[in-house]
Amino acid sequence: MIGGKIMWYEKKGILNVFASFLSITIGVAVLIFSFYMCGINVMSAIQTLYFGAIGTYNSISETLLLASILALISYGLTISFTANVWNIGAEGQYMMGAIASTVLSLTFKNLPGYILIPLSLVIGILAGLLWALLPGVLLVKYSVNEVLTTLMMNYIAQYILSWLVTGPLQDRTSLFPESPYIPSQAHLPRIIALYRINYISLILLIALAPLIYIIISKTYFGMSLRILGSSRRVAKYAGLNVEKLIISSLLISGALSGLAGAIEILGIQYRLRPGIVQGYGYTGIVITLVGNMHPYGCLLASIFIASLMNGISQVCQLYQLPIGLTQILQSIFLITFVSVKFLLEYLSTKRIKIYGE
Amino acid sequence: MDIGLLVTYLLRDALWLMTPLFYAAIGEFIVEKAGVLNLGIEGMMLISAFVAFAIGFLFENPYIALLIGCLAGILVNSLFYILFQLIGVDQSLAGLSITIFGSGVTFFAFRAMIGYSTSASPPVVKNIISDLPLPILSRLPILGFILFDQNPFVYFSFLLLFLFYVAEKSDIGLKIRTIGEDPSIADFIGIDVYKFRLICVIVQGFLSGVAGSMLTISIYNTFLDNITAGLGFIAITMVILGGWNPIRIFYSSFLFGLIYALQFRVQMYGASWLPYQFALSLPYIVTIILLAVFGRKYRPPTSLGKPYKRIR
Repeated sequence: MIGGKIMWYEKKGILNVFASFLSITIGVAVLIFSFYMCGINVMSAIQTLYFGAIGTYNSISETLLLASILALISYGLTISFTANVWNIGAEGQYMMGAIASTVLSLTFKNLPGYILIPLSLVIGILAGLLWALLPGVLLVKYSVNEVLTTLMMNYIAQYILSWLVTGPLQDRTSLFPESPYIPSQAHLPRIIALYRINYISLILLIALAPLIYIIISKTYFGMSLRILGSSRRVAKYAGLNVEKLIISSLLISGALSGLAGAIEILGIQYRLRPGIVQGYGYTGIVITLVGNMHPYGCLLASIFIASLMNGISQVCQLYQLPIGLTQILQSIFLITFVSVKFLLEYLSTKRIKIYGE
Repeated sequence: MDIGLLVTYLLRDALWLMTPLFYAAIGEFIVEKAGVLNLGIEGMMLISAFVAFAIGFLFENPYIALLIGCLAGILVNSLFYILFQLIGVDQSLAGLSITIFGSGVTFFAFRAMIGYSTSASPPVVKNIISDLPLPILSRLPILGFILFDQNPFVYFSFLLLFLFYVAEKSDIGLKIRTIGEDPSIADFIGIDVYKFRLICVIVQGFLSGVAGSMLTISIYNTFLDNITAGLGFIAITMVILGGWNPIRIFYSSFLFGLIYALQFRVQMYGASWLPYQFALSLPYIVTIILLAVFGRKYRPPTSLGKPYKRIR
């Protein structure tokens, strides 16, 4: 800062939180406006939304379950985005995790649950990690733009999934393209038998946020990632192993996305089907950015967006609205957040005279 | 089918199927020359594809649909310009936001248009822009069939090759290249960076609007979720592989046109041992391989993707 009092919007933390809240407010305003435009009773729609989101025990369980999937993806993306590595491939890594854990739990049907569950989760992690490895290697060895490669890997994963459920893995007794159910001992243990929320999802949702926070802000590795994120050249001058850092940030993010895919199979769907692909990878990007690339922000944003998704789907079913309101809402969150954040940043640095920086 | 005929059909289809890719790639080429990396091209194409589809469906006139589709492309690209140049959002971030925005908006709008309970058959655009054989040239033995018995979009894509001269030989091309190499120097010698970037971005919006509209009112006659299927990102790859040169971009797009044409043939007469999903994923696999092998052959514009803001 050159002279003058530091305004409130010049403090970075406040600015980020403000941008998040403003974007969410604008998004919700658009949502309510669209209820109004569709000609339905706004108050009763909001009531339905509340009951679908957090109003009943079942909806709380569903929201936390969905939030855990989204949060896992966005925790991983937080690490890669902190290192300024744009991993768009969470979707594909998630699919590969789901595929690998399904294949494993269908192959070893007779193993007891306490071996099968950890094994399936680990193989899911490994699959996601491997799916992120190729873009990482291409990025550091041949400096291929990671956005392009990770995105292409998404499409390849999608076709692998589509081939598996219509070919080798298809359930012979089913009319639909889907795999057989995984054995019941591979289901993640539920907290209350009636509701689908399970121990592992809940623990990962809550416990990973402080862990990721400590990794990013308190460890040597996290500091290196942040330096790398601010400038690759500076990281090189500082003597950091840039190649290793880039690959490891991508691998961690791939591993967590793969874990999310495994949990989707073992805890929610119990079988592989094309319906598991719901754009969670892209929703994860929105959550990571709206959560300010901060694990606690991601935790809050994922719970918030998961509850909105569940609530909106209830409203859409009840009032016969076209589904897809959540998708448009997410994009509005993202656009408003990005513009508000950078606008405030621009205003706060306006007084510094940098020419052509 | 005899081999000669098959090759002729493949070449013709390749020229036809490469057109949306080529338009999008040329648009991306123009902005990248000015130092702007637009990752939002995918979302932009999706939005114009949807708008062209909706207008074509409602008014049953493909030319009005094309026009409005292009306008939509220009509009979305203006939003991109506001984000990255006026507000100062990181270019990759702004582009990705536009892409996610495009897929969200079209996902919703398509469902809002066809209603909550969809009928069994998806809505179809009745009048599409179909093939237009050129009067005399199309009678030439083989070349006439490959080159001049084509869609009007294909003829215009031949015309776009003249952009080579604009880029390399003209005054405007030189100014744009200067901006792409170093915007602050360009500003210093009196080139209005903001104005030229705006022009480039609008031209790109127009071209990718054509590319997106072509998908729904000429190649297919309907809209699907995510109908572009990564075409925008493949277009960015074309620019890298073509080394920021329209002629080479044409060659690499033609290669991908061939892949798409092959893919159609494989799906039609496909061998039963080869799953059709393999044919569908071929473009993406080839993209990754080509990027790894030839991705660093040509040098990108120096300031590509870097923020530039003039602080007065």
